[in-house]
Amino acid sequence: MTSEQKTWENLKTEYLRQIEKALSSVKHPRKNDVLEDVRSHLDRRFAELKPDEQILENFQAIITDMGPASDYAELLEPDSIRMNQSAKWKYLLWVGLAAVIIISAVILLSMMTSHKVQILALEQGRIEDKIDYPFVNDPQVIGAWKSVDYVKKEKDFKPGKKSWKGELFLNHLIFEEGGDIAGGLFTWTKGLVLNERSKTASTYEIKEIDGETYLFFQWKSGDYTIRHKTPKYYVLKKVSLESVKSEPMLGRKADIPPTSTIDEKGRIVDKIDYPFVNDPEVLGTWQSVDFVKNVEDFKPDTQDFKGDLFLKELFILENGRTNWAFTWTKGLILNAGSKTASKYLIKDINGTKYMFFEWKSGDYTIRHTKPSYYVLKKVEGRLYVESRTVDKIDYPFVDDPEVIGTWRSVDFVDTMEQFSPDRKHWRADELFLKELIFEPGGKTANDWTTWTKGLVLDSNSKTASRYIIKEMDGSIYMFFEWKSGDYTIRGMKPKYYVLKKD
Amino acid sequence: MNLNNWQTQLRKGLLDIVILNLLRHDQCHGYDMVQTLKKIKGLKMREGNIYVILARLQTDGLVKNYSEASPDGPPRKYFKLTKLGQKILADMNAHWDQIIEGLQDIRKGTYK
Repeated sequence: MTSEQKTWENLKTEYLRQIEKALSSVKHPRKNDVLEDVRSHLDRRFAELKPDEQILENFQAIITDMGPASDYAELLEPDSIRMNQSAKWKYLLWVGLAAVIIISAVILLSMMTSHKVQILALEQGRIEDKIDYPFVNDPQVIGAWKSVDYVKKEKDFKPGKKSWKGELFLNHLIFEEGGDIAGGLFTWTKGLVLNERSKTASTYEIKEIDGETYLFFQWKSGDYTIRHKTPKYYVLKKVSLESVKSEPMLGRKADIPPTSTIDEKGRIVDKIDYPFVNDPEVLGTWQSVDFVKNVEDFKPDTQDFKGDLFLKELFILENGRTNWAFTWTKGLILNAGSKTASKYLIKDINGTKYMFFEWKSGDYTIRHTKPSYYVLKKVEGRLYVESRTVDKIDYPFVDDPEVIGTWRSVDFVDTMEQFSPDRKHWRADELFLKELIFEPGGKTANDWTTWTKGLVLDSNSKTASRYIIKEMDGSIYMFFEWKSGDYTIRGMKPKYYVLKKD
Repeated sequence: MNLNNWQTQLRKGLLDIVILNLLRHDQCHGYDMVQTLKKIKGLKMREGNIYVILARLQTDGLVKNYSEASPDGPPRKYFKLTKLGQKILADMNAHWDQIIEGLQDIRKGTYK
């Protein structure tokens, strides 16, 4: 095989992998046929190139002609609900059976407790609870509660005798007036703690035992949502706010580097303006194999993390670039969006190179929890194909007096239908895009962004993002398509910022 | 109104009827269909799209495929209309003609 053929094979494999990934969530009986047909089409396009035409530019042109990987899912998806009758009935039967079993379990659980939790959906086997409950006050729960035990059933708890032998991951809960829980992960209403991200509603119950007040809190981790196990209970004891203020809500306290600062909202802001220093050892392709609390917890033969790994693959490219919204310099992976600098460490274990990548999510920046680590394995023979989606951006200016002014972000949602003025998915201070300023004549607050009626055009990222203005419950909202690298590089559907006019 | 969006939606909506009509007269190999469709001005067909649409049309029972030996490589997959496909296409074409006729009348101002 010539080097040109190898390059082509790598490009082809990468393109097919992207289609496979895009189709992974689509349930269509012929999706494998599509992959095979595309493979055969690509082979024929390559075979038609004369030897002197077998160059990278022509290979890339073939891939571009095929269209972005996201197209495949978009065109095939509408049909996923039109399965043949037999498959449809089998599917419905299994979903029905699973739903009956889980709903029965929940009914039993809710009979044991005084609160009813309603399961709304089973998304790809994942339980999603109903979480849109109106706020009902409960003065008794307001205040700080510190974990003292973790038990299988409420009746297993014996005051003064801790049955859980390991570390307690949930350190405390601070129930605030009005339905918030400090840390931004949970909210509450009488009898329930709600988690918007994991879509779980956990019951809480306050009990007097031996003259002390305890709170029994259902812990709905992946064991419940993914593996459908009965939730266990954290037992918390009412304490003063002062006694828990210095510890994070979850896990161990992060070692905040001396170069980091805490902003006015209490978020950790790492130093990220490091000069680029090369590290040949880190260059290449890394695939996630595990997610561990500590580096020493990793065992190459067993996967500690049982859920779906969010970061699947990381290409570390020359000059500090990656295939994600990260940059890097020797020893650090930098995220300008979340303002985090994550350490990486490379270890040779049994002849294989592993990278331990500190994962600094909101648990670190907001809740000050010690970061866990992605473990990524170095793989050879995978080539990064930088295929960016480029939108048409040369639109003539069409005025839109309604849009002129300053719009401030109030939420970030997957789809426009998901937005509800009463229930926010994100706190305003957690949102990356704070505001959009539309000036007369198509100008905005920066030089590289312009607008025309219905579109915001970014000449840097070459994206045209739609904006849609809607009236909801007497207020005017703007839905703004957010075209990040997830759209331009990873071919995902854009999500929406929701903004409100000043 | 965003003209570009409208054109994209229209193109997507037309792909099924265009592909079915292409198969109306003869069975076709996917690759050859792409070469023909690329010549239709305004359709802006991405080459990979055809296989997704063919997969859908097969699931709906409108198109079927069969393989035939090829002189210069592995067997090739050909696509043809099923009887149901022929019937549905006739209905689709009739419906399309009605729309075009109505639109032309509106454009000419002769719609009653």
